[in-house]
Amino acid sequence: MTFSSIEFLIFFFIIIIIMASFNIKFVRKNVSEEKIKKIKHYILLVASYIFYGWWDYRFCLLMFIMTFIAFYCAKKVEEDKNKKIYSFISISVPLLFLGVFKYFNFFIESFCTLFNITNVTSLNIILPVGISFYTFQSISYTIDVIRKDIKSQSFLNVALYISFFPQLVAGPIVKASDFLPQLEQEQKISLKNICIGIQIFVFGLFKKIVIADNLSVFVDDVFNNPNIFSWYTIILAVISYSIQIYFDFSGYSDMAVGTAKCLGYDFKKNFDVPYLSRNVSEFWKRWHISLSSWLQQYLYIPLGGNRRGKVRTYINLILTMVLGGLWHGANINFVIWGLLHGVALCVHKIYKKFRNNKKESKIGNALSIFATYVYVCFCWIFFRATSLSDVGTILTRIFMFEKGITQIFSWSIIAIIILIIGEIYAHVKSKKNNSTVEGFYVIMDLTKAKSLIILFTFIGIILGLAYTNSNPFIYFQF
Amino acid sequence: MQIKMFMKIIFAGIVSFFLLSILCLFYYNIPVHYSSETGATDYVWEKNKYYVRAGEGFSYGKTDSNGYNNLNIPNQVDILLMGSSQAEGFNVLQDENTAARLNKLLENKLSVYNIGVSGHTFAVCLSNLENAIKAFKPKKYIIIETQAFMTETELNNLCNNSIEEIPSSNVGITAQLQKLDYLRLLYSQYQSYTASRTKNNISVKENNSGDMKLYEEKLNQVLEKAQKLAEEASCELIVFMDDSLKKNENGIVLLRQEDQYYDIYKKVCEKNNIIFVDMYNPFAELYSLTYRLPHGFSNTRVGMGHLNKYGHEVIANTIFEIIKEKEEI
Repeated sequence: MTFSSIEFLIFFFIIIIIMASFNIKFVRKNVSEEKIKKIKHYILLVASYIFYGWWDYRFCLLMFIMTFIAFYCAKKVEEDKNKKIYSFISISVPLLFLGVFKYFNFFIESFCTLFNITNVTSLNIILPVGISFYTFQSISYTIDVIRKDIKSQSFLNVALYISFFPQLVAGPIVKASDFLPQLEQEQKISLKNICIGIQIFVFGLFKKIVIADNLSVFVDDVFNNPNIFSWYTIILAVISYSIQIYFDFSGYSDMAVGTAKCLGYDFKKNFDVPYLSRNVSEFWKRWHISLSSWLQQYLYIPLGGNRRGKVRTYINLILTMVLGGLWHGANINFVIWGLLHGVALCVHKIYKKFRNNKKESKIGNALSIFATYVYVCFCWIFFRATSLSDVGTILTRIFMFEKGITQIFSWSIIAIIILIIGEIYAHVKSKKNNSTVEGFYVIMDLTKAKSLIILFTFIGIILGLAYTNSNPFIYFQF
Repeated sequence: MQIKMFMKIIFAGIVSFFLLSILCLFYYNIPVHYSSETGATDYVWEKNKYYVRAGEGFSYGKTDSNGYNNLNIPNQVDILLMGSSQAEGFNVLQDENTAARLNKLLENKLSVYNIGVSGHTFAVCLSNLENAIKAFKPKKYIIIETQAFMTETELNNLCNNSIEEIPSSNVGITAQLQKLDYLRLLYSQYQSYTASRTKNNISVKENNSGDMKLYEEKLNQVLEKAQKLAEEASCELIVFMDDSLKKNENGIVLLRQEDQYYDIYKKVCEKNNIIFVDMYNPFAELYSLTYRLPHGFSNTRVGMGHLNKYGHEVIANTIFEIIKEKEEI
């Protein structure tokens, strides 16, 4: 069940109806607020497990075990009983699960390749959807308790935090300290929240099923057979991929934010016009914000951050980004992708010192945005290509200006235009508000007929232009 | 208050449907189809109707007064082109399809009339051949386009004259609803959505029993009959296969599938004095010289789907060469 499926829309409608029924006066009169809150949490928990079990019911058991470990260890840590042991278990066991399910075959195969060992059969391990996301959430909870940022919670709250279906399978990675306080109060279903949530959801749906999915047709064609395409078609495919992954993932995040909003919960934004970044450091403050802040808070800073000298800072940066790359998947391409970003972060740190915080001119800013985008696109080649030899083919064909099939894909042109218009609008809006460039949702007042007409027409366009072949969210594989 | 809101929602729904219908005029404006009165094809499109198709390729134009995709109706039909959506050429501009290009190449020495209609497989075309000859009285050639080999079931049905007719829902409320372009677009999206979930792309190889001798016998029986009908009309029959060059999943551009069927078709056609045009080599030449593929558009998977303008051009040139040689033009 994905957000863009009919099954989900039906499922979500039922959940909303059930949750809204607690607003009925009769229920409010006869049941205490505390009880209603608890029942609603139970309902959301069951709904989340149904949502997750829709892929494979066996995955639910894995999530339950992880939840139990996080809950139990956090309790013990708080009680100060064998704090070190329980802290170690609470972090290492989820990572062990992640390692087995996600990286076991990768390490075995890499080891065998390194030492030229043949005839080794790898285990056929299915990767549970979203495991990377809820592993990080479970770790986030226990670390926050260890750091005494939050108090340990009831099993119901921990289970709901880890499994909450809007963010379960592809993020955003919500921090325990951001989500758990929201469980302390009853989140009522309100018409205002539903109106806002629907608009954010529909916006995300457009990004996903109209732009990203239609682009996937061209991107898949080129990246699956790079050796038959002309150099400029490959460049267009790389640009298209940069837009596809942005619209796919940010579209999913929007749908998650919208779904949660309908239920009364708030998620922070996960993307913030990343392709307007002037350098790679800024890019990581705008791209997959929940992951980069998680890595910063729970990996980079514990490694020593920038507190242990220049060299150590650079090593920490590169290590964090390589591990961030590896988080995306068990593949050498992701490692190189992370490494490239890590190196760029180091280079930028050195450059910043060299520039001595001088302000860039307007042209300098524009050039920085362009250069950052080109570098990010270069890195996307490693991220998207199926193998290192494909990366070689792509780069060779681009730099040798090789001839081949030419495809100027219409959806790429449309997507580029939409992206540019959106970014210019964000830029102009920030100038008006005298603030830094920020992403935003256009939220209309749906009590007005004009707003309803715009929304219905927009939904109509989505239905008419949607890519109808099944195309899972890119980040589900991570 | 609630009634007012409800009325607003209804009003907004109607206005947005109207706006979407206007947008469809430039994106998906397709004529309704009606049962053919002549039987030359199972159905014809709404006559003299403007159309726009932008979902696969981009094309616009107007159907002729018979309901087919032609710029003009010639006074006398010398060459009759039959076939499926590939021959129909709704995905390219009207002057870029095979028939229009062939007309241009023939410089009014011979006239071509295209009665290709979507869904008309080789079997359907053969079953309609007699009526098509009666209706349009071609003088010189009958060209039948096909993109796939017939299955044994189709051959059996052809032998028993029991090929199922393609239905036209052109009466009652369905016909009225079909006139609403946005609804048709939604229906087509729904069909494509359900089709993607029930992938049913079985090749002739998988569909047939594998008894090639029997297949050849039946094909011979069917083509013998077709040739007889063409002969009676003093026409030569040309059959061309357009589905012979594509990009497959491994990136191999020159691809040939089901060779044994090509051989049988070629053999049976030659035996019955039917000209069999295999587009494999012309398409391969197009690719090797220009890196262009005959199928696919700038808004579809590369090399997949209907014939594009290059594909139509190559077919027109190939057929023109055959006719030129025969007619000494």
